[in-house]
Amino acid sequence: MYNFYFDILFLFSMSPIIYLVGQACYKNGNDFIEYFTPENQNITKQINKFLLIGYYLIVVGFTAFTLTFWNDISSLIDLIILYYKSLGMMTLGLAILHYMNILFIYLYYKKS
Amino acid sequence: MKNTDLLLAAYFIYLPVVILLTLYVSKTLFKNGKLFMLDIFRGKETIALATNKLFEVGFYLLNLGFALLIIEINGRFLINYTDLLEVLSRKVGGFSIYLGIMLFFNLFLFFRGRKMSKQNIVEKENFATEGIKTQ
Repeated sequence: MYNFYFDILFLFSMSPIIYLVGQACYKNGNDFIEYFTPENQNITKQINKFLLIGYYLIVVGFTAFTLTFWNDISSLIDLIILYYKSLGMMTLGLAILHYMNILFIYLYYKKS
Repeated sequence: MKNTDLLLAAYFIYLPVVILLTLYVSKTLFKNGKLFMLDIFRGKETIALATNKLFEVGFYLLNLGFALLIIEINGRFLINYTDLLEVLSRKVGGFSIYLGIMLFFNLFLFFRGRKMSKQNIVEKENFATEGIKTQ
């Protein structure tokens, strides 16, 4: 029964982080992509929007997925470890995707 | 002191320390990184600040993610305060070394970007002067 409350707690605590990181990347990503596509503002906006949608899909999906590992929380220690490990895995995965996105955009427009 | 109390104390010390360390290193690196970016992008403030911010977000995600991933401490080895100190020293020390490596790697990327930008300027100047000569 406690698992349900912990799941809700996890989702609520993740939401502001997900939103803030998404907004930071969206705002600065707009200027970054615009540097490579100065002639077409629409392409810039569309690429940026697609990246934001992809980001939300992956993050929300991963957050929900980590909840499946929250089976037997017997103590506060287990909760702390599981919570922060899930957070750590998500942020690390996000970092890899983030750097890959920057690299791909740079390499793609460098070639063309 | 009970085993679980020591474990809780360890987590309550470890988390703020690594978060503050990451914040400090990141703020220092990317406050000065703005100058590198302005140099690389030849004064274009918008793209320079945007790229700086993107790298800063990536830096936070990567390092906080790693810090949280290695958070687990085996409670069986925590018997007294000495063990607590040793475990924390090992974890925080190891993370500091990792953070230092990431700092130097980012600096390397800044310098490389600056070098490539300068090379591009030289190539363009050579191209322009050759164009004038052929005319």
